[in-house]
This record gives sequence, structure tokens and C-alpha cells, in this order.
Amino acid sequence: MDEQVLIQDALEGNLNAFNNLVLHYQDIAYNVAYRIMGEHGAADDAAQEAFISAYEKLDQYRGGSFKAWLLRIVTNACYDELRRRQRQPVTPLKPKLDDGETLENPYWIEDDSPSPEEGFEESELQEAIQHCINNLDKKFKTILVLVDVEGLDYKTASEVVGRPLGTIKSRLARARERVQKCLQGFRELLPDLFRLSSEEIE
Amino acid sequence: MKNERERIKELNMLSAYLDNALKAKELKELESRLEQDLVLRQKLENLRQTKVLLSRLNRVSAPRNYTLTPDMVKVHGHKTRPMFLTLRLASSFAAILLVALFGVQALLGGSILPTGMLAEAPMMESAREVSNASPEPLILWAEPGLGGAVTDGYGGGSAESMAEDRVIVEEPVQEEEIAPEEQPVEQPESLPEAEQAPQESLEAENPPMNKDLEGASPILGINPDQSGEVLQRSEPGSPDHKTAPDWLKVIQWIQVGLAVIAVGGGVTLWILRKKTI
Repeated sequence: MDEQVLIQDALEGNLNAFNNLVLHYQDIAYNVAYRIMGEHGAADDAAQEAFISAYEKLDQYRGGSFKAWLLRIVTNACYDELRRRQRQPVTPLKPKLDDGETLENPYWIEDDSPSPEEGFEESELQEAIQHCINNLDKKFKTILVLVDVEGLDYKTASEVVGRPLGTIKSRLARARERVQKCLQGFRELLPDLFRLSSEEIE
Repeated sequence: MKNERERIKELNMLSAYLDNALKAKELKELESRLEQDLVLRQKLENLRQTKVLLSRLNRVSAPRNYTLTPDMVKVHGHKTRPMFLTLRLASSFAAILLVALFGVQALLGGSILPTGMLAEAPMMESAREVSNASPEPLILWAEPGLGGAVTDGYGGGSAESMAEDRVIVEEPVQEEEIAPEEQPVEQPESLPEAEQAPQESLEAENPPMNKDLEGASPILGINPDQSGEVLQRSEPGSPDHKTAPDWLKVIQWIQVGLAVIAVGGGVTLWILRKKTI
């Protein structure tokens, strides 16, 4: 896929060219949106809005990393969606089990876990981590998601959030520290190795 | 106990160490500290585990395709893009036209000053002339022995004294017409030369007024019967009044409109740009 050719074609009004870019980046866009929003419905809305917005603002793309440019639009769409939801809180619909209990996270069923028990534990841990991410301020959360979850380097993360490298380093360190403290509350969910070292801290 | 600033600096260094983002000097310094400091090593290990846990988060795939359809683009696209284009075009075109109009106006000899200022210009000029001329006739009128105030004591004056005044006012004109080089034979002793000279120049500038005065009783050099006419001459509608031509007014209104479009469009574009990325 020649990204620059697709961008040029999209700028000339070729929607199919832009849709090729969408297909290439939609997973990372959705993943970032989900980790920032902490909820699938909101992430879905934010991702769709981000791609529409990206198409409309494509003429403002000035070269460089298209991925960073697109993720910046995604994070902004998430912030907009977060603000909108703060004004009009939305309670997500959760499917209920046969016994009437609410299933907290129906998406764990999709995991390729070896057994339901292990899958459940893994899902609990995932939820615990996501819970700790959700508790972060959005400026820390975004950096943490971009670097530690998505594996972007500092420079690309800096382009996405539009902040200098020093700010990225500082925010990332503080975000990691806060998540680490938060995870102490879920010690029983942590793998043995992590639990041991957590106890050593105290 | 370390203060908060040192603690954060240490935390930043540990975090950057995990990502190999330390400079050579910082790296050397931190590694030497890690060798000696067990607590620092433990902190580093905890941060490393947190980073590993975060990287273990499942990558969530998009639940559906986010490809755009022409309808989606049409609905959303028409909301912003044409507005941007229209505003940009309108403000640019208005700015160009504005500059062109200024150029045309300057070429045709019109002033850039507003109409009101144009109308005021002749008035200001005449006011300067009057102030330069100074109200010497008033001094002549009040001079004892020249008629006027001495006659009845009410500041008026009899017809005779007024007629005498008229003669005195007209005399320098006659002298100027007949023999400008000759010295005046009869000069009122009380009239200084410095005062007489501006009086002459004033008369020379307003010859029609002197004609009107003949056979009448002027007050301050103006015939009371005709003072209404004098006032009417200075009204804007009169032919000798300098006013801006109609086309100039129209151009000025167009310029104001274009300036509003150019500035307003620019400001709106700037605000819209700030809202976008």
C-alpha cells in the first residue's frame, strides 16, 4: 500500500482511496479510542467520527507521519466524546445472564483463552488495568495508551499530542506510577511474579 | 527524605531508562546509582512490571468497518468544507477589491478622507484665513473720532458716522487702485500701519462684499440686509461649496462594505481554524 498515493487520490475526491486508508488504520484507531474511552460504544462513535473528520480535514495534512496525524484526530474525537458524555451521561447496556446477573464485560467471550476459568481471570486482570487507565487524567491516559499500549515511540507520541518530548517523558512516568499504585488494589488478580514484587514495595 | 521535585526527577529517569530514552550521561549516572541503591532497583522493577502489564492488554479489533460512503461524506462534507471555501474566497476577493478601489480613487483624484472631512476642509481653511486677517474692522469701528460709538453711546452709531466709516474702509482700496506706489495722503493717525495692512488684504480678497456695501449701512463690513445671502452661500447645496461628488460617496460606502467582509471573513476563518486541528 502506497500511503502517499492513496492520500493524494483521496485529496482528489477518490473515496475508495481513503477507504483503503481507513481499513489499514481502523484497528489501531479503534483500540486507542477504546483504551481512552474505556467503553466499546463510545469508542465506536469516536472512531467513526474520527474517520469522517479525517476525510474532511485531509487537505490540512502537511506530510509527515499519517498515522500520527490520524491518531491525533482520534484522540481529539475521544476528548469531544468524553465532554459530550459528561454533559449527557450515558449508561451502557449490559447483557444479562440467565440467572439475572449482569455480565460486566461480554467481550471476554471473544478471547482465545485456553479455558473459561483462565479466560475469566485474564479478563478480570484486563478490566482491572483498564479501570486504572480510566482513573487517569486524560492527558496522562493518552500518553500511556500511545506508548505502553500501542507501543509508539516518544517522537510519534509527541506528534500525536502536540507536546514536546520532555512533557511526554514526564507524563508517561507519572502515568505509570499512578497505574502501578492503582494496581495494588487488585493484587489478587496480578500474576505471581507481579504480586511478589508488589509486596516487596511495602 | 527526598523532596517531591527530586522524587519526580528520579521517577522520570527510571521511566525513560525503561524505554532507552536516556542520554549517555544520564544513563551512566543512573546505572551507577542502581548498582548501589537497592530501593531504587526495586522502584525500577515495579515500573518495569507495570509497563509489561500494560503491554499485555489485549489489542481490541474494530468491531466493524469504518469505511465511508458517499452519503456520509456528503452530509458531513457540506457542513464545513464549502463554508471554509466560501469564506476564504469572499474575504480574499473583498480585500483585493478594496485595494483596487483605493487605487482607482487615488487615480481619479478623490481623497481617501471620508465625505464629512471633505466638507469640513474648506470651512477650516476659511477659518484660518479669518484668523490670519484678524478682526481689524472691529477696532476701526470702536475708534473714537471715526464715528461709531461716540455718537450715541450705545455702541451703534448714526447713519452719518456709518457712512464715514464706509469711506474709511473704502479709501485704501481706492488708493490701491489709483496709485499703489504713492504714500497715502490722509491716514487716520490712530490707525497703525500694521493694522491697516491686513485690512487692505481683507478687502482685496472680498471685493464683491465692498460692492454690496455701497449705499447701505454696513455693520462690521456686512450689509445687514444682505447678511442672509452671505449665510446661504456657505450652505452645502450652493455651487461654490466644496463637497465630495456623489460617485465618491458611493465608492466610500462600497469600501466600508468590502472592509467589513474582508475583516469579518478573516476573523471567522481564524476562529474556525482554531476549532479544527
